[in-house]
Parts: sequence; structure tokens; C-alpha cells
Amino acid sequence: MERTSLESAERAKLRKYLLGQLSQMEVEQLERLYFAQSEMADELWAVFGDLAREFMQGALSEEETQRFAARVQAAPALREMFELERGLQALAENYQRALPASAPSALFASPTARRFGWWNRSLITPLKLAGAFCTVLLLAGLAWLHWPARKNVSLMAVNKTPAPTPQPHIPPTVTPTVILREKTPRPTGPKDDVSTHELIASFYLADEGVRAAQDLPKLELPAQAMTLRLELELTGQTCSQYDAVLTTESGAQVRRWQNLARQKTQDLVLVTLQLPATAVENGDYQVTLECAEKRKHAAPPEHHRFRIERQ
Amino acid sequence: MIERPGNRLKKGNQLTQVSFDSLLAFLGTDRESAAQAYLDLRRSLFTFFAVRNAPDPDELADEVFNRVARRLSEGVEITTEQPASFFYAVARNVWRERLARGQSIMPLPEFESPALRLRVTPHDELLAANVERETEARHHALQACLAKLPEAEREALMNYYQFDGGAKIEMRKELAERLQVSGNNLRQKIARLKLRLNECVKKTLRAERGRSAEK
Repeated sequence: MERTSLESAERAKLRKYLLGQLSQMEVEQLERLYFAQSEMADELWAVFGDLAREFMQGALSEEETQRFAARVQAAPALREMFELERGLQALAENYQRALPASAPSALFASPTARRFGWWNRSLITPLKLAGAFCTVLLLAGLAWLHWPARKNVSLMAVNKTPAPTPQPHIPPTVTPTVILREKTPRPTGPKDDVSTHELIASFYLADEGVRAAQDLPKLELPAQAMTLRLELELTGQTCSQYDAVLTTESGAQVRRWQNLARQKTQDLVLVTLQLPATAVENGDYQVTLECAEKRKHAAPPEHHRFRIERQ
Repeated sequence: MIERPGNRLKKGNQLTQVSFDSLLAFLGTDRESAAQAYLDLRRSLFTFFAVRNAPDPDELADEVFNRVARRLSEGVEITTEQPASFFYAVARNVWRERLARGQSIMPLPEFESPALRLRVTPHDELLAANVERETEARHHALQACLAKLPEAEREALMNYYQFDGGAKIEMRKELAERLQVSGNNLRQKIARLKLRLNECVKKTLRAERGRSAEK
């Protein structure tokens, strides 16, 4: 099962998988492969690491940046892994600052050189800076001032100080949303319009034909939800954009959306609607989706009925 | 750092010893190879659900194992040549059912429709402060988990992340030579190590939250 080489084409495919750029058939093929060959799953996470690093460095294309940001935002587990990448990167940078840039192989020099390398590196620079003004007192002062940095480096050099347990330092970093905002310009809107962490209750509604009122899917809306998200499966002839209208049982219009983009997930074709949770009460509702494109043979409207039960 | 099969499967489920033994027998000829197969499959299941934006890929992976174990203990004969194919099929079913059940709560993505954004309220500020605390706690957990790693693994991980461009390539080449593995194997070993580290971070955070709740 273990393979010694991985084709760059396979890596490119894994990359597309993570960015949601593969067809359903390709997705299935790839998933079967990584279930059968565990090293493919490992490689997939290695590719995720590459993507995360390129994202942080701004090296992804605009489309890839947006796709990656969307994936990390929407998938809690991917966000955790992204956080891990960021944390490790920050640690490594801390470590790197203390190393001579020209000599990466120094890490693999003799054990003695590796053991005391950090000591030499951290002292040489202060000595040069001090130059002619250097006195024993000043050096002592500098050594004292540099103690915290040197301590961090020695902790990362790991095998030298058995006790106490090393605790590598991670510099404070910004929250993921701020990082992502740098890469993905926020849509323009009111300046103070920046609520980023509200709770959203998300429901998937499969297209299951016409149902009797008593069989309607019940959407139990948690009290703390601030936004209601409806993911509506499309089964008919699909357009690229839809208009949607949400109505009550009596036909009163609650909300209307225009030009909603059709979304393709790994398995499904969907349209997603969002509205404030306060816009709906207990009762039966219907969403009607109509093709927004003006063409002769547009797909017929699709309907999704459901019942809201607030908790 | 990855939990042994038994620990995770027994927790919160009604799996009998018979089910558990049936699962192990299905996965390998001896307990050691079965345990390794379990860990490999768990990584694949975690990946499958994580990529689908599941908020709880670990729980869904557990659900897959539990279903397979139950079916095996009921005497259902699984004739597939590769257990992995069967697990993949069950994972797809679990996911479809999860979608149909349809309720999950997750943070609203930052860049979604501005029309849906609400004005900043004291509640929002409180949430933002919570996120900041969460980030800090996560970084502390990462430090603690790194400190728990064997020296060689920790050093390999830090070296793997060193430098940029050609220096990075050179560094990784040297690291692979030193560990006597190929470049691809090194990438995969590091990826596996990061998944373990992530497990540890999650466990540490859960424990920390538990301690806070007790106070």
C-alpha cells in the first residue's frame, strides 16, 4: 500500500478537492482512493498545509484565496487545522529568527554544535552591536535584556534541557476572521456592519415531492439562533441563478431574494437562503424557487414546504 | 496521542464486547494490525467529514464505526474485499442522514451577505472577546501539546517549517535524509503528526473548559 512517489497530478487533484473544484465523480474516485490508501489521506493534509501556508503568504490566486477562505470559514475542522498551521508557522518563525539565514544545515551539524549553536548565535550579534562601547557591565546588561529571547530558542532546540518541560512561546496572533479579511475583502456596507460571530441555525431540505401538511419537515429553531439558513436541494433542470420567495401558509410574503447563485457541494446541487431568525414564527412556510434567467425553456418553479417550531 | 480504538468506541455507546471484537476481527487478522487499520480508517473518515464542513467529524467517524460493529455483531456478512470500501459506503449514508436531519449551528462566515449582518451590539463585542480568549487558549494548548511530543518529533516539526523558498527545500531534504525517509514520506509523516497534535489540542481545550465549568 505504501508508495514511494506521488505524482504532481495527484497533488493537484487533492488541492482541487480541498478547494471544492472537482466534479462529483472525481470526488468519489478520490475519496475511495484515500479510504483504501491511508497515505493518500496523509498527503491530503500535507496539501492542506501547503495551501494554508500559501494563503498566509498571499501566494494563492484570487480564486483560490476566496475558495480556501470559504472552506476554512465554513468547516470547523478545517479551521482548527488552519489554526494549527498558523500556530506552528508562528513558532517556526520565532525559531528561525534565532538562526543564521544562510545555514539551515547547521541544525544537522554535530550534536555539540547544535547544542550550543543558539548560545553562539544569540551572543555574537550583541557583541557586534556593542562594538567599541562595549564594557563588561554593558554586556551583562545586554545578556540580561536578551534572556527571554534566548530562553525561547533554547526551548525550541528541545533536546538540551530535560527539566523543566519546554514551553515554546507563541507570539500573540489575530483571530482567523481578521486574517481571512486581509485576503478576502469584505463586501462594502455600513462601516459598523461587522458582526462576525453570531449563531446560525442551518437546515437542509431535500426535494421530496409534494407532502401532506402533517408530513412537513419540522425545523426546530433554537432560541439562541440569530440567523436561519435554508439549504434547498435542486433536483430539476438547474439554472445558474434563482429568484426565491418565502411565504407563509396563507400566502403572505415574508422575504424575497434575487439572483441567488446555485451551489454545488460534494454530493448535491443547492441554493442557500439566509434570513434573520426573528423573521419567522411558528407555522408552515413555503419557499418557491424560480430560474432567474430569462430564457424560453426555463426550469419550472421548485417548491419546498416546511414547518417552523421555535424552541 | 490518538485514542486507542477501545477507548473511543466504548465511550457513550452501547457497543458490546462482541461488537467490538467483531469489528477488530473484520479490520485485521490480529489486534495490532486491526488497531492500525482502525487508526488509518479514522483518519480517512475524519477527512471525509471535515471536508464536508461537518462541525463534528470525530463524532460522525465514531458513528460509522459503531454502525459497522453493530452489523457485524448481528451476523451480517460483509463480502467486500476491502473493509475500507464498506466504511466509505457507510460514511456516505451517515452523511446523507445527517444532511436530512439538518440541524447544526455554526459561526456565520465573515464574508456572507452584508444585508444579513447586524450592527455591533454589546453582545457582539462579548462574542468577539470570547473568540479572542478561545484563540489564546488554543495557542496555550498547542504549546502544551508540543511540549508533550517526543523530542525528535518536535524538532522534526519545527525544522520542517523553517525558512522559505530554496532554503526550505534544502532543509526538508536534509531532514528526510536524516530521518532516512523519502521526501513524500516526510510530508506524510509530518501531516500525520499534525493531526495527532490537533487531537491533543482539542482534548486539552476540552479539559480546560471542563475545569472552567467546575469553578
